[in-house]
Amino acid sequence: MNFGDLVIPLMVGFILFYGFFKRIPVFSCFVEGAKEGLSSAVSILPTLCALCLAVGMIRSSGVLEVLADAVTPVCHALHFLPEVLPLALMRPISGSGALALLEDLFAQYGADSLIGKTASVLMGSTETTFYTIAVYYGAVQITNSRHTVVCALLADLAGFLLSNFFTRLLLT
Amino acid sequence: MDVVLTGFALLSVVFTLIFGKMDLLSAAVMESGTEAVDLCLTLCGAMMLWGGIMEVAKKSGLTAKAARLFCPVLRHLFPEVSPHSEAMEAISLNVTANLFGLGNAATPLGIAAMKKLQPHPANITATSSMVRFVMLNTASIQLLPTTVAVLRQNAGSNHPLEILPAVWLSSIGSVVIGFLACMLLERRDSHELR
Repeated sequence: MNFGDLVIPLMVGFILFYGFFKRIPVFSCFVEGAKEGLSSAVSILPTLCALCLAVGMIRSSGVLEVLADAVTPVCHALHFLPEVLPLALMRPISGSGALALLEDLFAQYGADSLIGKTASVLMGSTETTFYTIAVYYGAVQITNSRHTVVCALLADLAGFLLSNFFTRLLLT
Repeated sequence: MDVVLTGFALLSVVFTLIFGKMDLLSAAVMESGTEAVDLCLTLCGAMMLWGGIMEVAKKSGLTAKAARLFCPVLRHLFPEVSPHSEAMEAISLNVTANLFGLGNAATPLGIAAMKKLQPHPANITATSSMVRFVMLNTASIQLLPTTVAVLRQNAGSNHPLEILPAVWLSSIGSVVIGFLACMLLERRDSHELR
């Protein structure tokens, strides 16, 4: 059984029961919160559209593949795995794209190979950066994100370097 | 984000002009609207569900309890947010959902936190607390990366979860770097804002 399968029902059940126990109008509260969620989701649709445009274009243009090729020599010099590079570049841009690349790496090298492990660690320790930034700021109509993109990408870069480092250190 | 949108689009067009495959790029442009609606519909369901659950948790006082749990740590990461405010409660809930790997729940909770962090509705410039909070969410802090574990299992891994210690250390490292970058760049920015 999956851990997540256990956590969610338990949490939902507990929250609802606790509310009932505290004598709050559980049903109308739920509906009120859901209404708020609905309007938030609708309000970020325009932002999502802009994001999908940018991400869709960059994915189909092949820029990422060429960029990965260009950085490969640097990777070799630092003893990092160049096979994981395309995944590292895709990860901040597209969650579904990154998952597809991860499955490719598993199929090609095996999940328990050094490449497979490094890719897993990288995938588990990073997020879809641009999606998160767009959705969070889109929901509150912030257009000037200041240093967010720089900081988030620096954290992603650190995630890539550290996942190489810690996989080698702990899993070989 | 202006730079991101324009930069990505321009880079893609120039690149594709040189290396061909214009049909793929054109298809990507045309599909992006539909893709956004699909994404929004998925998100919409999760936002309603978790919005409802969390409203119940808020009214019953559970969220305030969760906030107290993380307060000692979060107070230092978000010095500008008052420890007993609704904003801090929302941040704690988002962090909790992230730690458990509940991505679907973390996003609506994170958006709720952003709304609490917004000083007034007409403001269009991110506050330093907002930047820190968004950065924290872009740098995954999962205790259990469930999706990766399932994929590893499906790919025939003997130890799907052996990656955990390395994942935790990389996560912590990247979050620390992100926060350091925030602290450095905040100072430079705050002069411009005044």
